Amino acid sequence: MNEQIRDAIEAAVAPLPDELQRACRRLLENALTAQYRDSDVLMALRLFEQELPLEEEPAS
Amino acid sequence: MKITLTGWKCRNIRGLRNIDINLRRTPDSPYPITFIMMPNGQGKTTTMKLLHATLSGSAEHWSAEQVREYRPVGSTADLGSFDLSLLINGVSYVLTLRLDYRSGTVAYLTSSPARGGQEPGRGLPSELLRVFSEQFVRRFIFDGELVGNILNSTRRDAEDALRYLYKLDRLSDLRSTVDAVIEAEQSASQNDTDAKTAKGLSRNRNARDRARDIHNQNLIDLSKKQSELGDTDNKIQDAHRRLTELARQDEAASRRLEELANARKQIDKGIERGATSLLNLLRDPALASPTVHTRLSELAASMERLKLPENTSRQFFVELAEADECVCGRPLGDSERQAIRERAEGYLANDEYGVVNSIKLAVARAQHDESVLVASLRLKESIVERRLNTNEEDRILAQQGGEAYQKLQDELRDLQTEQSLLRSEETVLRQRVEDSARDLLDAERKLQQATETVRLVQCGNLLKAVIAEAEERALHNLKQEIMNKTNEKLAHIIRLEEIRIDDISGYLLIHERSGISMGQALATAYSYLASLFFGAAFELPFVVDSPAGALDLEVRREVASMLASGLFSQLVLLVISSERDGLATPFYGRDDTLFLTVIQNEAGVDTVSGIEAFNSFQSVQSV
Repeated sequence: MNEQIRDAIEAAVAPLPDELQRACRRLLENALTAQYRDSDVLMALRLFEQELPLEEEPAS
Repeated sequence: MKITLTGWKCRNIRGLRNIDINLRRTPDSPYPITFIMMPNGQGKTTTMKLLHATLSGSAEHWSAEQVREYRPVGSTADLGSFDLSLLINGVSYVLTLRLDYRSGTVAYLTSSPARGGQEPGRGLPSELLRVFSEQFVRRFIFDGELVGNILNSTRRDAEDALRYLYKLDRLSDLRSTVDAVIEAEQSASQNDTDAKTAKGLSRNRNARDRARDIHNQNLIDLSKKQSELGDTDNKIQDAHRRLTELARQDEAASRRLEELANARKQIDKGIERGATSLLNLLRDPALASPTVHTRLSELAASMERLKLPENTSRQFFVELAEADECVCGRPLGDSERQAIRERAEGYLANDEYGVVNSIKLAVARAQHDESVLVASLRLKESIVERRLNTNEEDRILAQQGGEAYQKLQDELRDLQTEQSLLRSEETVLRQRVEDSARDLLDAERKLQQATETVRLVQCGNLLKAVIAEAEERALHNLKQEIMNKTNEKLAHIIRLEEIRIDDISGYLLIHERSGISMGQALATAYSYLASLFFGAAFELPFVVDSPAGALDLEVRREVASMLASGLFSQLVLLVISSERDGLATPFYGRDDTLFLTVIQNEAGVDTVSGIEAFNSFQSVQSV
């Protein structure tokens, strides 16, 4: 993979927790070669659900 | 993905007439570098336009007039064609652009080993069809106009080219996939909430809280009413007890009252059984009334033929059509099997038909008899019996109690009136509690769905933000890298003056652009394109028309060296004789370079291969 793109992916996933970093990095790399399925996207979404808190808005 | 051109063939095309250009070095590969000498006015521009139109599909938008412009002057030919041969990852393709001069229309045809023969359309791999836009193809089928485009501050072509070449557009696709996956998840879970944001979630939460408050208040109201009813019941029991005590002062009357009370218990049980039995019988409409039964029979007769639910029954016909014998035991031949397959549809209907079938069967089987009449007569007898029992009890109590009894009776009547009122109110409140419990459940279900949806949508937004961040950063990094490489090349080929680009912001921003010459603009464009293609996901041929016309000799040598340094998988240069010096001469003697010279003569157009014709073409022209 092109070095500039690899660096960009690393920088984009850097703020995420470790497991999410790995999942997002793999998904992005696979997306660039069209080597992913919808289930991979769903798995990443589920991982976000586990790892990150839900944003709440005060009830009006 | 590697794409190379192996040649093209023109038939009945203006300026070119019938010409075959063969770029092959071996059957499986073209020469890395080809110079094609074509004098001005002999179809160079036409060749470039046809190459561009064939690869990009742009001829589909040509007007009839534009199509007819390709007919050779003085020709009466009805059809013209341009066949472009190319290799895509080693697989041969021939793309044909057919021009119908009579109707003024074009058609694309493709042949490849995978297709077997020629088929309509541009049958390239889908990945290429998507990338080969009109603008993108202009970056490697390079015409002079592109220099203007690349430097033009209103065009976003440079950034688009980057996205396509490095496949960053796939990251945009990934973001769309995230949305599609969320949508599919919601459909699969039959989640019908319209809340997609935290605000929508709050709305659902407020609705749930309101439903819970209403339900709690209804429970409190019901509880109060039940308590009032309990008090009234106790008062009634007390009044009864006092009435009985009054009566029991006479032993015989007391015994009779006890007998009556015992008998009443039995009668009440009988009434309860009779009422239950009658209600059960009344559930069958055909038993309820002979008129209803008659109408139902008429309905059954008028309903359609029974059909089978499709999902569960289709397989029966499929398997029957493959069996040796029918379900009735008779042998099945091909014609019977065919008939089963063809007629199966007539016996299948959507799955809801199962319910309709059940209704029809139930209606058809319904019978009427006198059981309801018998049950209601029995119930009436029991009710009359109870009335007689209570009348006798009242009479005994009245005889025994006198004035005190009458007072108690009045009190009891008032209490019973109050009890009846309270029971009605309790029934209303009980119904309210049931309704509010259902509303609360519904609100909780919606809140649950909204929570799941909003959560998924929020996670989707986070994931899309990461993807967008990667895309933006990649674009920025690539721009920076390409800008640096472009400037390195420019510094190398234009030594006397400082020409450099400061930014690729959708276009090339040239440092202190005023005063830049055409040659410098060309050198900038080549340097940029060479840097752009380097390391990209596609290896593309680079076909350029008059690449050195505006360059002076020194810059020309540098540009030639840059173009030939393996930055493109294939280089095809359409030149005129005046461009040979400095541009073509450095390639003389190289075995990776093909020299073709297109010579027009009285018989038509000839293509001559080799340095000799190429090198001598100038003297022929000057004659």
